[in-house]
Amino acid sequence: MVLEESQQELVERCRKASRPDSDAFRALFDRYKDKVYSIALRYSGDPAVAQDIAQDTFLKLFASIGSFRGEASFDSWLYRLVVNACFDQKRKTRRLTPLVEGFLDLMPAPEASALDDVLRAEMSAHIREVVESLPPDQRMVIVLRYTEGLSYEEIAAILGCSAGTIASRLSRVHKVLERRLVRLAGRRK
Amino acid sequence: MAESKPWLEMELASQFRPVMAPEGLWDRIQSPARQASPPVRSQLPVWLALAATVLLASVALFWQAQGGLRDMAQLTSQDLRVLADAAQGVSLQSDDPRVIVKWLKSKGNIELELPSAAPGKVHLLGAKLVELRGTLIAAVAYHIGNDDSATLLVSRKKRSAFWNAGATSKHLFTRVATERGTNVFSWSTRDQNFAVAWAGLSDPQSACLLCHADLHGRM
Repeated sequence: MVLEESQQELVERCRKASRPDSDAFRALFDRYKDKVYSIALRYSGDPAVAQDIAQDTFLKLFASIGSFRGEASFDSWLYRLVVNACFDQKRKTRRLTPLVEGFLDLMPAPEASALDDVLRAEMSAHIREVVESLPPDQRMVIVLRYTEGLSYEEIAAILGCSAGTIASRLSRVHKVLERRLVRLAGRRK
Repeated sequence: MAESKPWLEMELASQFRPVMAPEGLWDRIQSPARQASPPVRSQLPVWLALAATVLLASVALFWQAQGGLRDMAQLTSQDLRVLADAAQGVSLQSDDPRVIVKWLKSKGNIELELPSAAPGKVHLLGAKLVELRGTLIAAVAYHIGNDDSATLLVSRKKRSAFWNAGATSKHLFTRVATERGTNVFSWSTRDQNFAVAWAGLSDPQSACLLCHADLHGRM
């Protein structure tokens, strides 16, 4: 039976590793790549930007893991890295390449009617529009809550504010979304 | 704790669900010089190899919506017929994106940005200009396979916003419609309206390949 290496053991191995292409770093990357990329994609809404953010996050992680002392959990430390990378990200070049993923999501399933697609598309559009119009810190609250499933306290610790502030931000977003989506539902009847 | 409706919680959880990191991310980290565009995997999936026998005639249409047409959601049945007809034939035959871009600029004063190199199965055919409700439309045709046809429509509302190199794109979907067997799927992004239209396309995603080379390895 093979026991999975604990997070602590893996982090310790990375701290001792001298080269970023070592097995330890690769193992750490494999363990956290989906988490980092998911946050980056849901925050940015753009796969190309998300890859840039993930790249920046891991480069920063590999460069600074020696300074990780374990006062906070590794997860919290990693979350702060990716959150900061998201906030820092400024796309330098863009082509005529709108986000594809929503389009892929909306490709009709065999049983789905065209009307279902339209309605789903509209709801998706409203949610994206509202969330993407939020200030970065508020948008990040949504991402950490719904992509990572973090508690208010965990989000507050990552973003450096109180749990009450997180609750307030989420409440505001919920109300805006409810208004818009209920209006949309009304049009469907 | 903030209270919200369960359906909204479910919708948000669905919209923001985690995803898997793309292949090639580790390679990017090992070669930290930023790549200009997402990497395209060289190994073709089996279905794509099979699809090599399928010809898809696709047309990219682009118009400046300073005239009558301001939103894809306003497309009428007549509009859809015009757009479907636009997919037939080209005025300029060329597989060079630079030639097409230059031609559209000179003939219609329409600025369209195309990738300099299309992914393997995309082959540019050429371009044409059509008019829709007083608005000039540029059509760029391309093959992906050899059987069905598709049409990508792009409408610009604010040039300065759309062509801002630092802008972040997003898709806001607006409409799905069908006219005489041609499906039109529209969205907007960065103050710009887009749509893709296709007929008999077995995999509509392939119509995205002209601008989304990164899909090449995912299909």
